[in-house]
Amino acid sequence: MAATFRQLPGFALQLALTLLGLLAVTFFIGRVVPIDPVLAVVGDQAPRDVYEAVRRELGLDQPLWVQFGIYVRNVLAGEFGMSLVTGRPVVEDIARVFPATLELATFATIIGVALGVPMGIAGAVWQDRWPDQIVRVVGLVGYSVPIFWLGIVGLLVFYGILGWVQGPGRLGVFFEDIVPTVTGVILVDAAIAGEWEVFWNAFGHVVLPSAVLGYFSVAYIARMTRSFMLEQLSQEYVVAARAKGMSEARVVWVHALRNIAVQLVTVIALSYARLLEGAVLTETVFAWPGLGRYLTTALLAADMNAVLGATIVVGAVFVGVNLLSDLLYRLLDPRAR
Amino acid sequence: MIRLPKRALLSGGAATLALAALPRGAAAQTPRNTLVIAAQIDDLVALDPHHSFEVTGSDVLKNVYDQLFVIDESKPTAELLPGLAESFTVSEDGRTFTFRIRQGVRFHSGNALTAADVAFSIRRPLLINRTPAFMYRSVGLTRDNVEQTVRQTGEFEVQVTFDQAYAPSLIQNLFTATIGSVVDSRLVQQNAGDDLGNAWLNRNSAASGAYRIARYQPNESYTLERNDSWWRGRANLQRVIVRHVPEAATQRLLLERGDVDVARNLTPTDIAALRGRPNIAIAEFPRGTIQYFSANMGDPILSNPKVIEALKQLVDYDAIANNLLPGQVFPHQSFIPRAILGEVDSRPWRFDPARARALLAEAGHPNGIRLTMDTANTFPSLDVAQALQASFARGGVTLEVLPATGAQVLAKFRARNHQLFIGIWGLGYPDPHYNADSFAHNPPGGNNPGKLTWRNNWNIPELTARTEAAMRERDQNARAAIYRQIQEEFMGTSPFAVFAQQQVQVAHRTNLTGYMASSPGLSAVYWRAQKG
Repeated sequence: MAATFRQLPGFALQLALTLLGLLAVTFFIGRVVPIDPVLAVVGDQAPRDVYEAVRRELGLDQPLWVQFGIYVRNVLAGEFGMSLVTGRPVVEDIARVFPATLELATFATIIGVALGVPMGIAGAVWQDRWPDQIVRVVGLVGYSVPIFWLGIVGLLVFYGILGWVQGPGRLGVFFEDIVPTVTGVILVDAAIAGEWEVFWNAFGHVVLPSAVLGYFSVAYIARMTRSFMLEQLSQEYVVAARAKGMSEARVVWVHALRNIAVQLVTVIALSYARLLEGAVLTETVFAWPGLGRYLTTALLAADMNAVLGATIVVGAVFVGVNLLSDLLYRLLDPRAR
Repeated sequence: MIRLPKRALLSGGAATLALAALPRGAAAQTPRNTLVIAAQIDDLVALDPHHSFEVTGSDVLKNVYDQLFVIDESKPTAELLPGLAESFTVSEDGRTFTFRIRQGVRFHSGNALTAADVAFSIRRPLLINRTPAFMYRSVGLTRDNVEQTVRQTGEFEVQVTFDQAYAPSLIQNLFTATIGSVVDSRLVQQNAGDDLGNAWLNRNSAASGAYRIARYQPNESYTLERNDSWWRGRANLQRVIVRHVPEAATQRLLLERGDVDVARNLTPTDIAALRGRPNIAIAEFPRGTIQYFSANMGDPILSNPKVIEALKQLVDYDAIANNLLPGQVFPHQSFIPRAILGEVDSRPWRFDPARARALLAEAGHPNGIRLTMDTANTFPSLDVAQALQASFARGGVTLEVLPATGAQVLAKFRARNHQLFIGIWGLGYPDPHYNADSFAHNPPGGNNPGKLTWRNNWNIPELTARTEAAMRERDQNARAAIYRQIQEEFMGTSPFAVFAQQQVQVAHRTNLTGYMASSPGLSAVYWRAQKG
């Protein structure tokens, strides 16, 4: 543990450099892209004087490197600017949209791990037999069906026809504003406030989109688990364990699983991080006000403050999830300590 | 011609939905006193009525704020009613308008509305200087002169002096627009900051209208609560909730389930599937937005009027309205939208490829021509551009469609670097001058990328003079007559092919009546809505 703490300054430096690099690349690409942010603000009909005034107001008459310098200075002062699209501070926007994505991504990952890992193991243990075929079909469908389609059909069946789940959005319109915002994750906030009716309504809303996203995690995690496991099962220590008369369950769940744990954590962490970027299509179908849709809307409107702010969040999430999996390696693999 | 718009084909989901019928009677219901609408509202940026400049903004703000004049919601065409201005007089020289302000009106805050609020509200758009301020500048009010030109002359009297004698109806119509909203000056000044309350008003309201904004989350939803003491009478429904639902198929599911009363942005496929369903009705409301394409006359090929005439003969007007965008538009060929003063119903152009070929031959292009058309990569412009590609080909015009993001094509259009440009144009306030100023006014030697005439190098000193005459004409009928003449000439020789006017097509539950998704006043109207 002490070693981990000694690495902290180095890690902080690495984080800062990563984020600065990310910002620089996003900033310059954003300025090179031929979308005129001024027109995005003033619209089609504005006369020249309005156009020029807004251009100056946005600082776009300054040289590029000056613009970037100003931006970084502001960020260091905790000032991320206003979003052009929402007319609100970017920090406030992200504080609203990120929890929505966090909620969705976390549920999806839980589903992905809870189903994906056992399915992958089953596929490996019964290689080429029917459990394996099922895992392969699930994986194939997960890779090939467009998520947009799956979302809309899911809505049609489970909301439209069966009425098992709540409709699009994070919460029914009549449940808005009942619980005070603490974390922004409605399920957590509702639980804190003890408003169980709100909690169950929010749960009814999150189930379907997270199941749709989770399905793709299941497909990915199951495939990776299966191949990791197959590799382990052909190792000599497995043969030795079996020869000692150890039960098959113990061989698989204790010995082999321990050895694929590190790889598995990497895969799960990556898949979680990817979901935390936000899933634009799923968010669109389910009217889910998350990070993916926020970032996409901002990009299309050349709303650079919002794009840069959201990029920092995505960058920080990736670094954070990597750090977390690093720590898990140390727990799971004695050699890494 | 093309039967289905691309967008409907793109979403496999929409097609699937068309096949599946929902079980009847399983639907929920929204409360009797609440109107719930599923709509796309992500273009809603500003809630400050002196900052907002898009239709979604007007849909909220016209239901929240009052203006000096009102467009009568019960009439099919734009007819004026007194609003916060009970009456007005015009000075001898026609430049100074004196407005008598209605007494006894209270803001939602309880403050009484006086001439001080009105004067503050006419000056404020120029002082905060956001996009819509150009509408006030176009009648000679500026940041520097508002203290002199806008004067409070009594507790309930305000005088405004413009730079020239404008038609009274023009000024009245201008003051019905969102920018003409009267804000609670005391409340705004209490929250002013250094921006005259711009940031504050973008998230709060200081109004006197039918509803107040109870809640607003950008890209999510807004909720309006009824103002029980509105001077025009109490709205029927106590609450209006508009929820942002980006996907049309999702809006449709919400409506079928009865979780919303109105689905505002459906595709023609969705509408066709919903038609005839029990408890669901389809309704259409004309909007003040027209669809057109224009030719840059600065281009060597397009400077020849015969070529432009040929292009107008190569638009399949009926197919666009009936097959490509059924229910979303109706045929219209001039720049003043239907329901606005001076509208003309004549439609001189029709699809005639043989005539177009002949015209091109006369213009010296017997083997046809190649042209490019810039379009935003979104519905409906891109869809129409693709249809035009097909119909142009039948007359020997090879059209290359150049799609890009909206802001990108606009930049090119404003820099006059296009050959053909296809787009839509919305009326800013319900007066013919607004569109005439852009479609039929181009002062010589000007440099004004805000005007469509300028962007297309259309030099029209004579039409420009007539547009200015119409702008000043004090007699309403004479004024309408000038606009009709201008439009006849416009349809004949301009480099613009107007081919349709938009309408909002919504599906709603049948127990809802009186709701207007759009009106001649250019916004949604909620206060007349009622549920049975």
